Amino acid sequence: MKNIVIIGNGAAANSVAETIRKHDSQIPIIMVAREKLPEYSACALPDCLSGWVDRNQLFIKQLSDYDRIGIQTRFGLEINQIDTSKRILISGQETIYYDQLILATGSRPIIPPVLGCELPGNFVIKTVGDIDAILAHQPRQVVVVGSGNIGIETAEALQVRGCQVTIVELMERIFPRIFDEEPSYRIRKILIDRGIEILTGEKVLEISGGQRVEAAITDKRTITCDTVIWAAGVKQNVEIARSAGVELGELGGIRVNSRMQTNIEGVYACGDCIESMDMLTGYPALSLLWPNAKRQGQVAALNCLRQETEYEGAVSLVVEDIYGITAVSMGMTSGTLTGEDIRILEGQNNDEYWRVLVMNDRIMGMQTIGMHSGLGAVMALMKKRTPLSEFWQMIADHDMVRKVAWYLPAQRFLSE
Amino acid sequence: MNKHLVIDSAKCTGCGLCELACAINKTGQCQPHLARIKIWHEDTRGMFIPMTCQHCENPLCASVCLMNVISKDPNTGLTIRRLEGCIGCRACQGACPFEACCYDYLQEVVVNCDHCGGDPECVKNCPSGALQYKSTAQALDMQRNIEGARRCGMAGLGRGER
Repeated sequence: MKNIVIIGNGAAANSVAETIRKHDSQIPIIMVAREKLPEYSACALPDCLSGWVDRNQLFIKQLSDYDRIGIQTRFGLEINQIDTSKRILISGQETIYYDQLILATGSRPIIPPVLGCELPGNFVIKTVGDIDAILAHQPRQVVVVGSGNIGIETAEALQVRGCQVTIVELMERIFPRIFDEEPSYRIRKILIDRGIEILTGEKVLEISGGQRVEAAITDKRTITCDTVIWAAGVKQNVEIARSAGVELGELGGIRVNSRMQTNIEGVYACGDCIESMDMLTGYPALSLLWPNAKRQGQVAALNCLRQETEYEGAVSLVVEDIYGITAVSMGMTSGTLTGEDIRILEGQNNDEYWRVLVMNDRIMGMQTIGMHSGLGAVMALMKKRTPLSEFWQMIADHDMVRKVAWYLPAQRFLSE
Repeated sequence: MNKHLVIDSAKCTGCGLCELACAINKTGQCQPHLARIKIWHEDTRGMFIPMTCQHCENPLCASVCLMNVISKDPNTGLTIRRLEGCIGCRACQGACPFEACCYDYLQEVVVNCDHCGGDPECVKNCPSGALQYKSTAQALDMQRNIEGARRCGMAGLGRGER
């Protein structure tokens, strides 16, 4: 009988396994992963660091669950080589044969090669092991390098734990890829009010210290600290795929078509390690978010079972909890749409703030702070590519609007 | 799914009894904002739109959930949540077009309508007939009648309407 081998044990890999099991209860599935832990939610790691979420609560599956749904596991196994002509995976301990292979190898955090980045006290946030190591280190004064979602969430979590936190960001503002200037400054203000120091436009040049981290040296100053957390982005784990002859895209991820197939027959890829296309623009894009990984996993699984399914494209939805204030960014930002003719609809009401980006009468993105209602409707309109003129036409029609009642909450965001 | 919560917003008077009944039944609190069903008020046109979980076939809330707590019940077809796994990140609220994910601040989790196990309180308390709990066949029949009447220019005169 044909078997399916999945490399990885993250959101995409588990989505593949579950989808295959839902449609085919017989076909053997083998999951190979480097970590020995069952599936856990990587997005909730900063919440675990702050103490808001229990360590046990992070785990989505137990080890026994894999057996129960009929998945063979080879956890703790590092694959050294893939031979696509013989269809085998070679590792130190064993050789695994496959008929169809799914690569969901994910990504790893980047640590720039600065002096002292090997000293004890340098951490990243990617796995449960990293969280355990940080807590065992007992940080007091922390420098967080990078201010994407991982950086800000980690800074907040450690500040809640009682640490003195400094964020160092290379770009001119925090959340450079997720929020535009105005919402970014508003979030910065919330963080500064709570006592987090934010240094933008600075570069970490060196980590100094004898036995362990003692200070971080930037191009402008020296910051005394005992812990440095690197949240300066991630890199796709594509080395093993590349050496097996799988083609890569220009952004560095594994190139796949809309059915998640790579250039090699019988090899699929999904999750953080691939380069998919953006749903709104159609350009190649790296999508490093949980919902996209899960959807790509489903598409890969269905195509693996010969049920032809096309991927719609990746769309980003980032929900941040900044000290109880919800900040949401969906779709594109002005930065990614530079050079295009975009119209910005924005407004505010006490602590609430919203901004919608419109291009060619279509919604391309939205960023809000402190709002909870109406976001889903704008997201759905954005994904459906509904022109704004049509939206207002529907709203004005008394009979039609009852059939598309879900349009109504979006009105306040889309009015001029 | 063989039974649906059918909403005919044209009949809703905005009285808010469904919200109260839901909140009391689900949380024991007399606070409409804890309800799983909400009435949207479109004041300028005097429209009241009761809205609750539509139990989508491919729910957006399930696709964005970071903890994979949302799933489809294979027997009833309802969208169900494993609440003990929910960390209250509210990503589902941002993704649902129907505003049907409600943050329950008493339990600090996000919840949705579960049809009260097959006997919805909101339907029992709706005085105007805007909310009805019907089988698939009945629901489709009702939709057809309303739509047929509308196209014949008899909106409001169709069978089952006031």
